[in-house]
Amino acid sequence: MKKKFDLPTICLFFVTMIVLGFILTPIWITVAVSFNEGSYIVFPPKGFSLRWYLEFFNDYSWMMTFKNSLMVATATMITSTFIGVLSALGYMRRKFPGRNLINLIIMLPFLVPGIIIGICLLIFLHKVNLSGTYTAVVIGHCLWGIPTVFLLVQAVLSGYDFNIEDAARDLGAGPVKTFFTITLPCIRTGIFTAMIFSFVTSFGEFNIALFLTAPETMTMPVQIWNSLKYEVTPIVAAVSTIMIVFTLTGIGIGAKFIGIKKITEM
Amino acid sequence: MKAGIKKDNWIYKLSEIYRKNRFLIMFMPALILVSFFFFVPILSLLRISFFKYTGMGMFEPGFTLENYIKFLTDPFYLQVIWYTIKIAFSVTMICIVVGYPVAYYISCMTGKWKIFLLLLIIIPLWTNLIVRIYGWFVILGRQGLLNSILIKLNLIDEPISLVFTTGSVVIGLLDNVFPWILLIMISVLEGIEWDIIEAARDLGASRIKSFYEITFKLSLPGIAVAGLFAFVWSVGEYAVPSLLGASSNRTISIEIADQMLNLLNWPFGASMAFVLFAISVSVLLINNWLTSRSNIGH
Repeated sequence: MKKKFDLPTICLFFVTMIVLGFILTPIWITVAVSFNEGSYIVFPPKGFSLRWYLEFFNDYSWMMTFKNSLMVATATMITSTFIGVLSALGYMRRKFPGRNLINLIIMLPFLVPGIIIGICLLIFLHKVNLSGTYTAVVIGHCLWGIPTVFLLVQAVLSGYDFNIEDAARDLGAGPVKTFFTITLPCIRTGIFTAMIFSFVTSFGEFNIALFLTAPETMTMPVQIWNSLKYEVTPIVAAVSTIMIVFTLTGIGIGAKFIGIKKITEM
Repeated sequence: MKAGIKKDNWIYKLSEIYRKNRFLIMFMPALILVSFFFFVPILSLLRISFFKYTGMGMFEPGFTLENYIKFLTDPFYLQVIWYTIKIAFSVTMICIVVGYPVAYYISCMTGKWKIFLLLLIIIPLWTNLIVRIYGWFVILGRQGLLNSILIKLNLIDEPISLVFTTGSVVIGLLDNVFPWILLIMISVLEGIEWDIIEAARDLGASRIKSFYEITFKLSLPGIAVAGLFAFVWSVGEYAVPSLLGASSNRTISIEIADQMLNLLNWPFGASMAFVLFAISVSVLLINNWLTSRSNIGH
């Protein structure tokens, strides 16, 4: 389309800016107030200090949930990357009967509200005495992590030619050798990006974690929820900023390796 | 032995089938995990929803429909259902009506500017919801951004309470679904070929007419898909109404969490959760049908 600066285009531009402003404001404002000096939340922030970051790093309970979140997210990342990449490779290979059904089964947990996953796993894992353990949260998060990886690797594989694998096999390479010398080098950056995104998904997930964590296994979003519910302290702004930094780093790495366009195609 | 195998031998046929479909093994880990930790738990949720609650967090096995009857006939819960649907519907409508022009604008863009706008959409998409809800506290709070702007502009004298209202719940839910809906709509609009529009323009259709007759009409199924997603995600969202809503603004998800975590009436909580699950799945099935009809890829 030719560049036009007429009235409709200007209106579209303003609506776009308003919507983007709407979805971005809560993020930059959180970062801004995290450097606030006072002991309650005001905007515009008064003074500049790292006080709330120091309090975060010196607070035992925040540090514990931070550690829990890192552990859960790492375990989720490893499990769901392995399973998700495998499924995406099978899915993109060729068309076969039942392909849509498999897609639906893998995607369904991602599409239903998180609270449902939390509750049915709470009931189910209670029976097998797993409720409140790290395993429980990791299982719950994998139900979201796998679809994330599945979608992202699909987007990456959309430009991949599976014929080169067949060529390698015809020339005598075994399936394992084919995977490590052909497939993996081609989609390495995509897998790495998928790892980052499944980590970020799990690190910030709340609805599932609320039902599956015990006080000892509580993750950071659950503690943020608790403190928003009962006493709002500016530590939350510092914690949130740290989570935002994690997310931005993830997006930065993803953008560098597979590009923004591929990320949005998932 | 080897020479004896003929091509119509059933063992040969079986091995052929195996060789062709061997790659299906790749789905096994995912299918096993999802079946065992999603479909089986859904069944146990369904089973427990028929149990009878005996008080004090205890329940006995059996088969009773009273939990469902209570949820679907009690005026209090009917009001909760109505409130939830009303909010989710408003969010969906705002999302579509406001989001469509934005998606249209971005889908017409090219080059670096477009990548930049897409980046601005995926930042909130991947920032976790709890953090964004905190941001809304800062914006809407008594000493927040909005109040201080309104006071500076002399529109109000005293800070007004903007959080813990239906409005703040709608704002939070909008913030949650907007990035996803924008991406879905952008991919729908990008799928429409410019050639058709150019052809219409060449044949003398005005800009508005070609937009309405082609772009708008072709994008309708995709927009419906986006709307259904917005609805499902808003109807079941828990964090937003539990933090940004007043204690009197109860949604289905708040009732479910309350029954499961505080009142420990699991059979009743399970029956409500199952109704929510059934609603979500039926909406998603409609969605799947729409998608397969219009071949939208996202």
